[in-house]
Amino acid sequence: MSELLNEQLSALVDGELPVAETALLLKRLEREPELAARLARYQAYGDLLRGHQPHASGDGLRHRISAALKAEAPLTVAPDRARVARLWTRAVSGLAVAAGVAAVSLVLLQQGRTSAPTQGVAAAVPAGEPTVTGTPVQPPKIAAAGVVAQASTETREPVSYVTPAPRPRLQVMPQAELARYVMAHSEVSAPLAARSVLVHLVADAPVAESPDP
Amino acid sequence: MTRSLRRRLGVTAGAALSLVWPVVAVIAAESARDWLKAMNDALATKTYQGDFLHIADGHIERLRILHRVRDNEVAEHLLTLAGGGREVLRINGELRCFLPDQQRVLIETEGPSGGLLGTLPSFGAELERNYRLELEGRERSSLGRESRILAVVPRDGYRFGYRLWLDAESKMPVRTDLVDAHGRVLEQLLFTALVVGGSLPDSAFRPSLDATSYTAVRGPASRPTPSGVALDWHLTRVPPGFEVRSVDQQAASDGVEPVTHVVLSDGLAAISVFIEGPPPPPRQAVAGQGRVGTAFLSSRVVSGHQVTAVGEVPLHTVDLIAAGVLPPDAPPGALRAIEPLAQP
Repeated sequence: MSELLNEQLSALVDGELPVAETALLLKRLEREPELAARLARYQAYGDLLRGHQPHASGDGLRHRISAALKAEAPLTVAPDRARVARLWTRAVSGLAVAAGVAAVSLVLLQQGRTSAPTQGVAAAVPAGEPTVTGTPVQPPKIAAAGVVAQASTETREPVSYVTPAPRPRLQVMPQAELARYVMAHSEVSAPLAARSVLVHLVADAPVAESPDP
Repeated sequence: MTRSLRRRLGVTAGAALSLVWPVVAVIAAESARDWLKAMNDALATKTYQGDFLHIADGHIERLRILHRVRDNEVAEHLLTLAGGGREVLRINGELRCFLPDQQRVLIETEGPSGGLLGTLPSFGAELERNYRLELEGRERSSLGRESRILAVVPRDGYRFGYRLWLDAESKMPVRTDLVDAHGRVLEQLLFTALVVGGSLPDSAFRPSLDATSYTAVRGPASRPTPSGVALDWHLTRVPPGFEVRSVDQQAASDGVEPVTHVVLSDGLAAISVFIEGPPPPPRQAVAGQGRVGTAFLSSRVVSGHQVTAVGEVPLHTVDLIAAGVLPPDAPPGALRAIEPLAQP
């Protein structure tokens, strides 16, 4: 794996990769599952460096992460010192901003008690003008009928407490039956959960149906 | 400074902190709730189109979503960018899932609730009982824009949580990590391109594959009848924090008992319990478990009926609920009260 590719993956996670390079890298990610697994790890390690792992703690976790990092010495976070310093600076400045926000919130609360109620975030959402971010999206192209999406791949991902870990597939019920219930259920899910469920319906690799028990 | 003065200052500072801290906590929680509500509103009410990576189970896939809200009607198209794969279309209250690998199209008609826009959670006080909401800071997202990180941390193992990177301007979740109660990430959705606003033509909501020869299969909640029916079945094992929100009865195919659809919620996660009459031969009610992504299912056969619990919660949660469903004529001894449940 070239140093350039490592840098590109790292920049993608940090939102610093130019749009043209992003498109090329994403195409490559589709073809190379090992690269995709590495992207997930970069996100995870980036989170760790930024301190976004509040739910799992303890020496066991530290040892496992440290073991995973050592096992993958050529692949994982061995960023240059400047990069680490930048991440720490970002984390520290984040804390400073958070402290500032807390102080301002207190002031706002006091003002709110003597004047109008504080407006929520929803009220602050700008209306009207469309917001454009990232690269433009083209309408879907017509694809050939009957071509099945191929997503079944093997990865050599180490045990991780941060990246989505492979889980055993429960496929006792026939897949079409599962999809039927999940679709019906998605109608009553909150939008985020409903989207997640439907994404899985689309993204899940086709699995051969098992006989009814 | 004398020792007594230092002690007095310390006591005063401690007392001041103890007075201020609950206020800070309340402000933080309400602010986090505001962000959560803003995200939910954005997802349900804004027109947007985007490409994103879906990372789970060691797989990565590129997907595209097109979502249009026009005249209070939602149209949505979800497809893989690999082409020719599965697709989901939601148009005018009808959900269609195209499965080219099975040559089938699953059709689900929305219930009387009005679909997506009618089911937004209220994010009330009960949410706080079941989840801890935390604003974790700001960060540049994968789109290179400022985002706010919101953590929705489950208070027990009966539900999942989220860590969300919300775009500071549009409030759209540009990265979503689904996590369990131990903080393990189960899946990630990472937007690489997103356009919020504007308009999408009708042509964007047509399947990109030729499904004319597919077999249509209607879901268990199709052809709904008016809601508000009484639930005569018994749910004896419901995890803490979940409450029954609605009971609907929908006509099934001809000659089959109506399907009862019970919806439970803890303020964020929803669980559906479907109670279906004995299927016509040669079909048989089956018991089993399943998973589609982060939605787990547990099915049981109870008095010849098919009882299925499904939700974006851990398997043991839906398993528990399904195992506790008893028929209307269950003997009084079987209707045991909900016992204290061990922490999973």
